[in-house]
Amino acid sequence: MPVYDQHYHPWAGKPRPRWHRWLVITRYHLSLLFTGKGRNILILILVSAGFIHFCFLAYVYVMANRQILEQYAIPVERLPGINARFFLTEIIAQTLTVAILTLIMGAGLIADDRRDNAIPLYLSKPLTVTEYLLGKLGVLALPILGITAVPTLLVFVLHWLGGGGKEFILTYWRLPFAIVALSVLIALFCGALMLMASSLVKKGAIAGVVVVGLFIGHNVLAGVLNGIFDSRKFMIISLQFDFYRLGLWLFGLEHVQEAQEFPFSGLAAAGVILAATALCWAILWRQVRPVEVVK
Amino acid sequence: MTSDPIIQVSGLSFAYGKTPVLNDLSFQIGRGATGLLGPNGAGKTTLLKILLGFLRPARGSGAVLGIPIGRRGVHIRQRIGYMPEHDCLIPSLKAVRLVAYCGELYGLPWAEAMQRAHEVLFYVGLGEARYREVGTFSTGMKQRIKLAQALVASPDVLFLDEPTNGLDPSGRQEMLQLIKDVVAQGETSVIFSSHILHDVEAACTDVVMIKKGRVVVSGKIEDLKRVEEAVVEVRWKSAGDGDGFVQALAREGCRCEPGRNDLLRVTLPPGKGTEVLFRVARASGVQIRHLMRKRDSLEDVFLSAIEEQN
Repeated sequence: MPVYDQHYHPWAGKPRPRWHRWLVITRYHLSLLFTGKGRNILILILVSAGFIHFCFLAYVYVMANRQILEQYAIPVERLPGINARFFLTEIIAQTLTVAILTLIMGAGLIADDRRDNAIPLYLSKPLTVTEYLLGKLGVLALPILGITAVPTLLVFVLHWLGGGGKEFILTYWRLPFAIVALSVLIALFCGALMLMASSLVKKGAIAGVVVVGLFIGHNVLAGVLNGIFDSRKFMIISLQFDFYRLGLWLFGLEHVQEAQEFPFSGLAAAGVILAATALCWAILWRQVRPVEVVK
Repeated sequence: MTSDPIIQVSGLSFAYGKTPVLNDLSFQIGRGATGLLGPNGAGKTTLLKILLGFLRPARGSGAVLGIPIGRRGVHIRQRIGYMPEHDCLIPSLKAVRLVAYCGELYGLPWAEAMQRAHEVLFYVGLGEARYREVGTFSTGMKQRIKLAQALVASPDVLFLDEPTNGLDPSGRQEMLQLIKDVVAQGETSVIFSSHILHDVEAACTDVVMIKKGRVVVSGKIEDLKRVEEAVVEVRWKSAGDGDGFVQALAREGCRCEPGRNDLLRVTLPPGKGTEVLFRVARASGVQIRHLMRKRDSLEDVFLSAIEEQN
């Protein structure tokens, strides 16, 4: 092998501005994921997510073309309408897909870097820890938003243009904001939780087990506490219930019986979710450093 | 040192917990190749990490390329290429993809980063291995790709932390040649951290020697390697065993001791020159084949500096 075939030529170009360098990390990881061994599984998950949205879209189409239902003598008035509950259900229906996607895509995001000792490689470049974490978060947040907010908004717009009309948009003008807000909160929380678990270990599989353990564990804890104190107040510990309660609040469904049955408000649920996300970020900040300081 | 230092530190102190690592460190480094020399645990890597903004000094201040260390680490790292000592590569990536990725993190547009990755991989001698996964590389190849990722954005300063570690003799020579070549272009300065004196001597013009977190000596290597007028190194040939020659020199007041490469190191008595040697040689029937005034090696400089400190 030759020592070198040519002399060293300095690069004379101008570097791109710093603000979007975190996107390089996101793009690189996404391209690796979608060209690597797990590509088929990811595509399968995304297709299944798409199928759920397709069902909702088909329902919107059928409701806009009621003569189809009448042909089959299906009583239209007994079918659920297309309202805030419909769009909340569309997002909630993606919960399992979001969880699987998070586990598959996120488990090794920081754990692999820790295993390969590659964090100093990133941070020796003009990147801050925040930008590094933002880049990793983007790997999870973008696909999560891609299977929650984007298709739900699309269905909303298609219904508005297809059959809902002016009356629909005047009644439900808040819904697009609610769809985006809930989806962003889901993406932020899932991303932060997965990255936190990934930063604690050096094997992605263990990070996945940690997340599943935390998910099951905190729900069990909520159930046990509810049982011991014979109260439903401890439901607030369960993030699953918190997200549902938050959804009801954001989608303006405070009046429905389900919302009334929760012993805590939507605002309190948002507080718990934000606190849990902040805790994950605090741990992440502590874990991700360019050097491991031995005390 | 030049009047325009690329690195300047003053009263820098740092400790890992209660273990002091750097202790009131002050020096300046000018453009060119400078060796950061010291035994293992001297604080060389810690110093580099402080300069990169990875660690915050407990006391003192400093600047890299005129940018103060501490809060503006990102600005410093934009202009620095860092080759870490330890293994830090992503093994599942192909070499060209890894170097291009690092280029993009420096802000190179994708197409330029990829083009530049090919160039620097050829330059460091990995042209044939560009499409191999980094995990399959030998230690020498890993050292080369670490250099390539540090060079990809044409930094103003290269921080090389033990770049010849784990290399065989020919690999070591090639790495040193590469470093000299980078410096020779004049665009990039090199800080070469190592505990191997010969490597620093071969690649650098300046040196900062550190021991226990303190600078023991710094300056131009040529200036530090002073010529000792009173000590000469001699190779000689005689018909017999030549003991008489050594004894005759001792009688003349010379101190004789074996030197490197079968040379005899002779310390001349005060006020006398090399004519003593020739006179004694003629009288003893000895031919002098080699005679040279002794010049301190970097090792001698280092050892005497450490002795002085102790």
